[in-house]
Amino acid sequence: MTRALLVFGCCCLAALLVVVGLDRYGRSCRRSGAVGGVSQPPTKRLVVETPIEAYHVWKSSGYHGRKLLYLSGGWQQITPSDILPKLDYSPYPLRLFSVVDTMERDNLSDASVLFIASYRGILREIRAVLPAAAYLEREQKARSSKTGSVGTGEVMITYQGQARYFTTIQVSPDGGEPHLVLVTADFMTAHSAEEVMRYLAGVRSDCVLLCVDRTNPAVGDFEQKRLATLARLLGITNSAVLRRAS
Amino acid sequence: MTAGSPPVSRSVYQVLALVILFGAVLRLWGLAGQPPSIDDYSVAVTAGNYLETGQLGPTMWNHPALRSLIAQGSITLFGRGVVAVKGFNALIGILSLPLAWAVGRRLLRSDLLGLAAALLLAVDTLHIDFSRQAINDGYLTFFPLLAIWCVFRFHEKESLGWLVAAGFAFGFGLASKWSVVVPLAVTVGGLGWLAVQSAAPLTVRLSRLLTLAGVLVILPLTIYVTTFVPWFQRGYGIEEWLLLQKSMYRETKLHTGYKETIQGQHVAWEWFIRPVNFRDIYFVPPLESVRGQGEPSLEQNVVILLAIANPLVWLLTIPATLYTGVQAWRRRDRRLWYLLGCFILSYLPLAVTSRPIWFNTGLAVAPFVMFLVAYAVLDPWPNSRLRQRAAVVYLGVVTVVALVLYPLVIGKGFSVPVLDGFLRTLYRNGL
Repeated sequence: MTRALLVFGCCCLAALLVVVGLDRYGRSCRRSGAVGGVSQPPTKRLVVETPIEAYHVWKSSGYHGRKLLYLSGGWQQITPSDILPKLDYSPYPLRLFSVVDTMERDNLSDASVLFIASYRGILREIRAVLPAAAYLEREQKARSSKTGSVGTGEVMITYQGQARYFTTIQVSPDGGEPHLVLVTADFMTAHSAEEVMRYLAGVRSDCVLLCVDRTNPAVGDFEQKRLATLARLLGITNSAVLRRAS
Repeated sequence: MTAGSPPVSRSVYQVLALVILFGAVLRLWGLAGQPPSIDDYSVAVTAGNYLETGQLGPTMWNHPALRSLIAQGSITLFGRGVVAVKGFNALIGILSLPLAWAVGRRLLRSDLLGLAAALLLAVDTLHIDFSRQAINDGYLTFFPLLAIWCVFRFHEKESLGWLVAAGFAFGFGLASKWSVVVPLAVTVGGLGWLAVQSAAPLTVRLSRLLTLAGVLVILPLTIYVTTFVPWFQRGYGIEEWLLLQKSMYRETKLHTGYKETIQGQHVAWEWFIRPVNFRDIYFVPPLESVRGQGEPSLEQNVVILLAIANPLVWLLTIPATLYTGVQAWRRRDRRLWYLLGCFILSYLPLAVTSRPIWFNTGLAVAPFVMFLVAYAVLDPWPNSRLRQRAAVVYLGVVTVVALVLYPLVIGKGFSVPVLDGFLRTLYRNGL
């Protein structure tokens, strides 16, 4: 009996060590900058022209394994097979390559930024805050998706195990783990700068980016002005991009 | 199951060596000249991606991660050639043959039947096909066989080391595909039942149950989790890992293929009723040196790997199962019950599921099919002499049929006039 208890105990201990060790290891792999409130130092606050520029800010800052709070006017559905590298025939020796570097080199676009940032490991979870109509469209999608689930005021659709949550500004954000924050100008069509500030008040972040999103036809002067107001409220006052937007 | 394994005669080892040699030739013949398929290529690219980013895709992301770890390890060691890409699968394909014998002789209590099962596996077109490919369905035959053999060794030697080895083998099996959970559960159930039923004092029985729970439940699960180390590097915690498992389960449960359209019908209930097949068709562009010298041709530039289930084996499965069931009942033979449990519980979920099940999944049941058929064909003979003659005749005919089908498995169907016509008829519309 003693030997059996010892064997069982060793197996349990090994399992516990592995589970706890992997959990700790995973968390230790997250990379962030100095964290604070969204409108004060040391949080990095910038205005960027395009989502691609946001991607480069994240990548050059060395962020890894992060949650993104993404406030946007809509969710741009992409087809992964259009972005993933095509595999044509290769004889031996196989022409091996980095999937993520190839995608970044050949297919990085405003539409594919979040997909590639997720693939690279910069983002491990996306929480998209959408206007009501765009949220309802995602809810429909979640109901028909084999990896979707519908909660109260929030739906989740996973891609290869990565969680993408969709919600609205009515549902308070998670104030625990620091988030990367990205606000695109088309979100301002339905929401004022003050509303966004109230929403972000409890969020801890190391990087808040406002995206002017100049190539988006849904973004006009109205959205740009609201974004400029939001930038001022966040304490971003010296951006050339912002001055152009104003 | 009872302890003890009868000694093996020299002639049995000699025949086994021939079976292994024959099986190895079938698995390695012309392998370097068989152009890599898109699946082979995808496995190698996905393996590199898993180690680089921790992402389980691009392809087959819903299956556990052991394949990518082994493939990338092999590529690191051996480069980007055929040895790196397919060497491990060919090796375990060959090693599955002595394991089939070692398990078969214990399950069926006969060296002859064990040898018959090993030969049936050696010439099985599906097993040959996936011993020559990079995707990991061959693991579904190898790891359970290895684990079951280790369990038998544990039973014979009463040595904990063998049980731990079985725990590792089941863990690697689980980390290949979830279907290995069935033989694991049947094994744990069987050993647990033996422990409970034994006349030993309560503390001894409890000790056995505790040991089983530790070594055959917790240890395999621990190994399974460990293969996700690169995925955790993405910053995930254990709670998110559970969400990943849920996503993998939902994808696997509702999987309809990685390509946009499904060609043909793929249902597991047909496997033992009509000859089914697994096929890979892919285009190999002309070499630079001959480009521009005419149109690509079907014979030169299209590879068709077609594994047609040997009808003399696969179509005997249902009657063989019934026969084995009757014998298990009559003889009160626990080992036959165990075999039936492994087969039926592995197969039924596949047979009744509504989503497409491709025939490659048949490798999860293939060794049990070989044991059942070898038993049902050779057990009824009244004496060993007749049984040996029956074995020679039956296995000889099966081998001849397998050799006829073999060029199709290795993509050389167009080289054989009869098979060339067959392929053209079969794929006239598809090509």
